[in-house]
Amino acid sequence: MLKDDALAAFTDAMLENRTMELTDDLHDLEGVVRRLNQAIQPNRLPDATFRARLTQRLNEEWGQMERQQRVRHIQNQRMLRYVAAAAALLLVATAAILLATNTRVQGSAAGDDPNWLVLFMVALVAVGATVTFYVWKNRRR
Amino acid sequence: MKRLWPQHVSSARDDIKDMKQYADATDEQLARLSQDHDREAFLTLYNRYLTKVYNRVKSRVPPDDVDDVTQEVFVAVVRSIGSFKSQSKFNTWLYTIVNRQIADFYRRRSRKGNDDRNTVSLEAMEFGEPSYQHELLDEQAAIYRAMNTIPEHYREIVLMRFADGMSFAEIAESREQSLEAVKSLYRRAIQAIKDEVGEVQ
Repeated sequence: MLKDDALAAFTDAMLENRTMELTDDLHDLEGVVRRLNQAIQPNRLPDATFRARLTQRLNEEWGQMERQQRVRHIQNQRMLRYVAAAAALLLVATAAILLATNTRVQGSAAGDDPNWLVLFMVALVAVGATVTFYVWKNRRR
Repeated sequence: MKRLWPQHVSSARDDIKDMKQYADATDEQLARLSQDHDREAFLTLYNRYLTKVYNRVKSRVPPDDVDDVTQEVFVAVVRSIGSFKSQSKFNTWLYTIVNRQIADFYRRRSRKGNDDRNTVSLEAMEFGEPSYQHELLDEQAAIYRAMNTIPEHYREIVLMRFADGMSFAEIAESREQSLEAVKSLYRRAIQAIKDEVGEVQ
């Protein structure tokens, strides 16, 4: 306990440029604390040239990251448009096929209702598939 | 066009608006804003931590390489800021990157077959007599080796005092430990370094 306090007080004194004597039993640790202080030199700040160079490098890195983000955003938008167009195409094609089928069976006992149900189901599947594809595509990024 | 921010970003942004100053923001608020590409927030964090990171690197890397490793740390921070989890403490996350970059530095050196960790620039050390310089350089190299070898919890307490400039009371508060426990841990850490270094005097 006393040793812990003494070593901590010695460290504080050294870091504040004050002198302080340690007892003999802690003398062997004094050298380590001094060497640490010499190695780290906590009061010696990074010089202005280095700071300026580092700030410039980080600004470049930041700019590059922003550009990549923008490209990714545009790609996402483009993908969304492609997916919407594909879904619309699929719906139109399905509707056309069903209408053609409906025309052929007109007057039959089956009536229109079952075809509209099929149309609704197909549309639902198409929308579901589109959403699933879009989510899957984005998760891969 | 209205831009939709993720909820955590909106919240951090509102807090900053209230405070009107980045300087008053917490590290975590600034990190969340940085995730949303707020360059000013990132530069505030960078200025807040540059000296601490620089000191931490100085404690474990020869003087000639300190600038390069420090730069690599901050470039890695820019590239991976998106992976910072808002539940974590920013400095814990940052110091993990520091440790990783230092490990990468030594890995690169050993791959190059240039693992001459005793070789450090005489000019950089700014000491006096040549023979004294060599003696000191050996001792400094031994300190770097020891700092890279001792257990993490020992290294961390030494770095908090020397590199981060925290008082023992602040360390105790930060680690949620008693002041006595922190001082005891510190003495054991110094003893561990001494055991690694051998007789310093």
